[in-house]
Amino acid sequence: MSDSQFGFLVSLPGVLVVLAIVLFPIGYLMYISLWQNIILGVLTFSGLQNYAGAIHDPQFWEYLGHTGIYTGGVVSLTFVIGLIIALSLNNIRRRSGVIRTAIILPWAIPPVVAALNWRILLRTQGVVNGILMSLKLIHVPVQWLSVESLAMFCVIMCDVWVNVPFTIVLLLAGLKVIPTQLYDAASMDGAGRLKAFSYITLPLLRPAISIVLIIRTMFAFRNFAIIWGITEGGPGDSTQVLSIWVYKMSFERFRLGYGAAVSVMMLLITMGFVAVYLKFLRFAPQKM
Amino acid sequence: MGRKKILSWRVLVMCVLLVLVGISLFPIYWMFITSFKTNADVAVFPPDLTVKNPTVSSYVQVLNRAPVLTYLRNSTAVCGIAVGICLVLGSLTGYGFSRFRFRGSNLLLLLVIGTRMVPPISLTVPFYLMAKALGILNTWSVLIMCYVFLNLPFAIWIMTKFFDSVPTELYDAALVDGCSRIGWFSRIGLPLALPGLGAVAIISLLWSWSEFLYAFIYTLTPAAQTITVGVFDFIADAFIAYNWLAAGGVFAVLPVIIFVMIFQRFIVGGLVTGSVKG
Repeated sequence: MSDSQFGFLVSLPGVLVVLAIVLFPIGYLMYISLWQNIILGVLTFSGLQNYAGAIHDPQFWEYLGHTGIYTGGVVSLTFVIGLIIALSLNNIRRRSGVIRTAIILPWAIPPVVAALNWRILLRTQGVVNGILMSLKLIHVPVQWLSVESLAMFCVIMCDVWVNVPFTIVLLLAGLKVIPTQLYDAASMDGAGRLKAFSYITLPLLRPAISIVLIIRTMFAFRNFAIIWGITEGGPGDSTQVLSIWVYKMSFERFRLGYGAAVSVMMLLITMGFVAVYLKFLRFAPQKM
Repeated sequence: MGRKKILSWRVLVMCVLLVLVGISLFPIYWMFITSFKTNADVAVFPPDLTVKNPTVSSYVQVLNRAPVLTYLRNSTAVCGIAVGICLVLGSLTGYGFSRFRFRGSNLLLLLVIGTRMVPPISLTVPFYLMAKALGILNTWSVLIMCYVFLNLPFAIWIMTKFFDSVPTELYDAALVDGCSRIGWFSRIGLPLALPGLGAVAIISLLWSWSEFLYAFIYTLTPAAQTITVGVFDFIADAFIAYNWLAAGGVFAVLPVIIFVMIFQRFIVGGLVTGSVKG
């Protein structure tokens, strides 16, 4: 048996499992998206009607908007906060297991439990209001999860809390490989800290930054557990993102075809993101 | 100028670290605190920052009202089996992709990694119909299938990179000595790739334990429900017993905390390895 054949055979089980578990269901999903059940229980083939319906459905755009706000808020905040912390921690000599545990914990615990935690913290009679009131910052308890815009803010902040550790770890790893001689040379040439940051740190950090941004965007866009754990899409539908809407449509209203169509659109949007990121972030020419 | 600058810089870093650790731990601390409060204490506003009359009554209530141990058993079993499958298949496929670059292996690797782009919610309906047809709804099997979907691509990717880092000389020399290709894998390759297997195992276990969406949809009775769904079950529509909710949360989180304390160095290492060369 040749090397090629052996390699193929040895890889086959894993590849087959992945293909079976992913490609087949995706095909099935696209197939389902072509059907509608206008009368309950009776399925009719409707071609691309579901997709056309989605595009004309104001709810689709509303929830897409929510998803966009959520994703944009989460990714930008997580990135900025993570970057600032990573830069600050870059020069620490002592490795502390205790501190590392503490910092990773928000990322390691189940997101839905983190969300439930935040629900406890943010209830009207909860500790956040308690602290804010004793600091005299507010006079009346704030209904964090009952006011629409506040609820979105809270949900975003919970996601940020959960995912900043991941960002810190990756950015720190990226920072560590930047040779310190570059900074020494720059300061000898009279470059200030800001210049050193823009011309040395940022460009050399680009691979790490792009990975962080791609992964965070993908995962924020599809988030279900965190939002479901805090608000279940509420109050009303103000924090309902696409994934929650698809869930409700498919498993509470049994509009499987429509849910499938939106699911396919979510997949296409994700692929679009990744393509855009890859083009502009990773393969853009580096100025050295 | 140098010495003063270093001192104020150090103080700033210490402050950042303190704030970071504080913010990271406060919600978790709060969950523990709340779980030990009495029903009366939970209703007090503003809430006490410490527990004045600690009680384990919430834990008793939770254990009486919910099959927590069953949930934990289910979580452990499902995660263990799924990750085990991923380790076996992932290392075999990684070996094949890495050592024998057969025609199409690069494309297949890209395809496998590309499956990460599929939002899990998108596959909930197909998986549901498949599971129903196979009769495995509300069993461990459906969750194992889902968790293998979530983790196998990552496993294949990491193991391919790890086998890539094994010098070809080690392989060639062994074959010259008469070692078979599959023998090399079991006797030399796998032991060398142990760090990679460890990283995959740890990260996959964390992800699977924390998984919510699939467990929520596909398991309806405690027979197969995992701890994340079990905790969520404590939310009643009208009255939420926050101390009970917190106690349930502790059951879900305590294994994770212990796990992280033991493996924190490897978790960080695994994350870095998995992402440094995207």
